[in-house]
Parts: sequence; C-alpha cells; structure tokens
Amino acid sequence: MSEAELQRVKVQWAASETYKLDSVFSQARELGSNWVLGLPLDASTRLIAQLRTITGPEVQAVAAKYFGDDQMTMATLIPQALDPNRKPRKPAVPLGGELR
Amino acid sequence: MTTVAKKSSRALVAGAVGLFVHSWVLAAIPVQRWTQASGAQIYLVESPAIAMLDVEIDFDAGSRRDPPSQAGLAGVTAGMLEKGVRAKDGAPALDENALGQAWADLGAQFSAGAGADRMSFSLRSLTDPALLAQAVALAARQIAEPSYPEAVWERERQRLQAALKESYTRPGTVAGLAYSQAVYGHHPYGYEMTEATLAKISVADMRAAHAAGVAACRARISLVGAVTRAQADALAARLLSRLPQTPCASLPPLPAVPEVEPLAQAQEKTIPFDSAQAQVLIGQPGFKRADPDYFPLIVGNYILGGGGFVSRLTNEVREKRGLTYGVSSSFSPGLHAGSFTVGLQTRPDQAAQAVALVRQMVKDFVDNGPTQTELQAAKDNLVGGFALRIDSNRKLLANLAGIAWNDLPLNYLDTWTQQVEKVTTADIRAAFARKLQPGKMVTVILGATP
Repeated sequence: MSEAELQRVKVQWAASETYKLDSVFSQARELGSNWVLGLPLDASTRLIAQLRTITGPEVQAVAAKYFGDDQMTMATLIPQALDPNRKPRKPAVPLGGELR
Repeated sequence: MTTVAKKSSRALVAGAVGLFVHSWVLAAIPVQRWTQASGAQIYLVESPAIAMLDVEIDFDAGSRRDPPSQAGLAGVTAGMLEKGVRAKDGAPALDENALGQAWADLGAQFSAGAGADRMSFSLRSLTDPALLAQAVALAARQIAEPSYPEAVWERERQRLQAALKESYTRPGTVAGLAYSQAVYGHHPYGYEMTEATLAKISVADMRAAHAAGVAACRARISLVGAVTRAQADALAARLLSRLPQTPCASLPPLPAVPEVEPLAQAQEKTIPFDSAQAQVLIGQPGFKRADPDYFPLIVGNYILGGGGFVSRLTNEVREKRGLTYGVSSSFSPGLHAGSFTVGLQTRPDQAAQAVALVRQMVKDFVDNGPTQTELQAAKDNLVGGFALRIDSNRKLLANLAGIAWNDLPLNYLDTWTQQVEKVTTADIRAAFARKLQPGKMVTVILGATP
C-alpha cells in the first residue's frame, strides 16, 4: 500500500465524518449510537484523531492477520442457458398518440 | 451525467421542490451580499459550527438557451466539464480519471449541471486550509478550462441515447413528454433532449455554449460554511480567476427568451401504452417566480394538492373514492411560467372518472377558494415545518442560491413565515383565478386502452 493511498483513505474518512454532521438528525443519530455502545460523547472526534495516526505497516499487519485462506468464503455465479421457450416480453407501444 | 434526469423531471418536480424556503422568526439568518470587481455577486451565510464549506455558482446558461435542434446542449456542456481539463499556464491537462482521483485525494466534491434556467457548479470541501485551497484551485480549473474530449463525448452520447431509449419504455416518461410539449408549445421549457438532438451536438458547440454562458461578471456565488466574509471574498475570486474577466458592459447582451404562451383552448391527448396503470397529467402554464402572487399560490396549492395526505385532492380522489394511491398538484415557477400540474395514476378503466373529478375540483377551487379552516391548517403546517427547510448547510445553500438567483430580499428567510401568515382566503381565490383557466387545460391520459 502506498502512502498516497493511505492518505486518501484518511482524508475521505475524515471528510465523510464531517459532512455527516450537516444534518441535525444525523448528529442526534450519531450521539445515540455512540451512547448505546457505551462510548463517550466525543467518540467521533477521538476516532478521527486516532485515524490520523494509523501507519501503513499497521494496516498491513491487520490485513495479514485476518485476510488468509483459512477465513475466506468464496461464491461463484455460473451463468445458465436461457429457456428458448420463454414467453417474450410484450414490446411497448412507440412514442406518440392522437390529439383530439 | 445527472443532467438528463434533472432536465426531464424539471417540469413536474424541480420547481415544487425548490419552492419552499425556510424562515426562522426568532433566530434571524444574516445574509451578507456584495459585488466583486469582476461584477460577480456574492451571497454568504456564515455557519461556523462544522469545519466545512458549501458553494454554488450559478450562470444564466440553462437549457432555456438551448437551440431547439440541439436540446440538451446546456446539460451536456455542464456534464462534460467533469470529463477533463486542458493544460494551461503550467498546470497539466487532467483526464476524467485524474480528476476523479484528485477530488478523492482532497475529500471534496465538485459537480456541474444545468436546469431550465441556470447552469450551476457546486463545491463541498473541508475548511482545512491546505485541502480547501487545493479544492478551490481545482474547481476553478474545471469551471474555466474544460477540455471537452471528443472521444469521451462520443461515448457519453451513446450512453445518453441508450438511456433515452430505455426511458421511453416507462409510462411516466412518455406521459411527461407529451404533457410538456402540449403545455409549453414552442417555448424552450418544452424542449426535450432526444437521440436526434444529441446527434447534432458536437464538442465545438459545447465550447461555444460554455464561452457564451460562463462569464465571471455574470456569476452569482452563494456560500454557506465556516468561513468569514474576507475568506469568502477571496475564495469566490479564486473560483472565477481562470475565467475571462471581461466586464459585462463589454460583452454582447444575452438574447431575451420569450415568455410561455397561455393556452388557447383545452386539449386532451390519449396515448395507448402497455402498462397496468393509466398515467394522468392535467395542467397549464403556471406563474413566474417573480410573481407578486407567489405566497397565496403556494399556500393555496398546499391546500389543493401539495399537502400530501391532508390535501383536498388526496381526500377526494384517494380517501373517499379509492381511485388512486397518490395524487398531487404542483407549481414550478422559474424565470418563466413553469407548469401547474395535477398528476395521478389509476386503473385504466377508472381514468375517465378520475379526470372528471380532478377537473371539477380544480374548477371549484378556482371559483371558490379554500375555507378558513383549510387555510389555518395549511399555515400551521407550513409555518411549523419551516425549520426543517433549512436544517442543514446544504438546504440553506439551496435557499440562499434561490435568493441570489431571483433577486429576493436579503431578509427573505426571516420574513417567510410572516408572508405565509398574511395570506387570506380571498388572496388565494383571487390569485388562483388570475393564474388558472380550468376550461383551457391540457389533459394527458396514457394507459392500456383509451
């Protein structure tokens, strides 16, 4: 991971946390959800302050810890042949109409 | 490009949405206004609580200035601004990917679009000094130095043409097109972007439309956020700094746009369409935003069909007779008389009954106006709900830009609730009688069988 990529994530995160406050309703919801989790009233401000200290090696260490084959689930969608006897959809009548 | 949806839904929705502005009688909203050396007019509401800034810049370059054979030109001229800037004064060219990455790195948002009246540029940024300075510099480049890459336009044109084709499979779109054409006739408000008009638009046309419409001296800039007047003044100047600074007096005047013609007679269009529900639209040209009857008309429309579940139309058409799930009426005032429209959907075999009922109700409202009880309930809702129309910087910005664009008084938001309170039943009856002619309306019925 490059330093520029990490910086972009930090700026984006800080921006979305700030823009989110541009609604009285969002502010109330944020206070409520922090409260219900037992977090302090200034949890969001602390989160942003801590976010700024994250380093690339820290992100790599967490990724190496959790993103392994042992914990991976994979799903594959396999396209099936269409039923040739399926009823076609009726086409819409083209634009226009009578004026009276 | 979001401009397509904006343009096509404008007649029915946009005006009604922009209609209500907020007024807070106790807590005044101080609007500061000044004119810069370039001629640009600045409107500012300082909102220091959150470390962010929202800006809207409007130009008289909306789709009402499109040539009829190139309907959609304003929308694509604005939309293509996001597809690249050219190299200038040592700043390198940026393609759409580079622009996207640059905005992502800044945590800022920039968009451009065109409605019927205005071409608008919007910027949202954090007020962190380093980020804000870079965001303003990048926005200034996009506003002034779009590259209009030919290959990207070829791709976008195909995408828009495909989207149009898809939209014609939807009953609401087809009914809206027929309605708009009948209400506006040859007026630019009725122009619709089609595959054919898109085929006639080149990047050279976009460059010409951009050069003619986006002039610093004609800008109206509205700002809401955590900045002082001095900061706002400097930011606004920088946003326009890469445009030609020609004074308006030296520019050719913008051509006058004619007014929407009143309808001469009633018209009914029935359009067969393979859909489960019939779409019904009834209406006529409404009124201009500058009309002195503005408040009686919006309060009256709330009672007739704007007020959702408590409106007369909902009560009679839905609640009492079960003819529809939803019915509403709206005005869409702009620089010209945007439409007054009643819209509903119903089972095709009930369409005639619903149309007759709506026509009778509109006529009755024009003849007799509302009752005192209805008027009081409308005022209670509009005045009581006013705070919710300005409870974010974004909503406040939309209202501020409305004040700037329509030359409304700077205390408009502070006096809004008083203006609503002043309206009488007689005002509403007189205003509706002046504006609506129930015997000369357009009716579009689109559905399974006529």
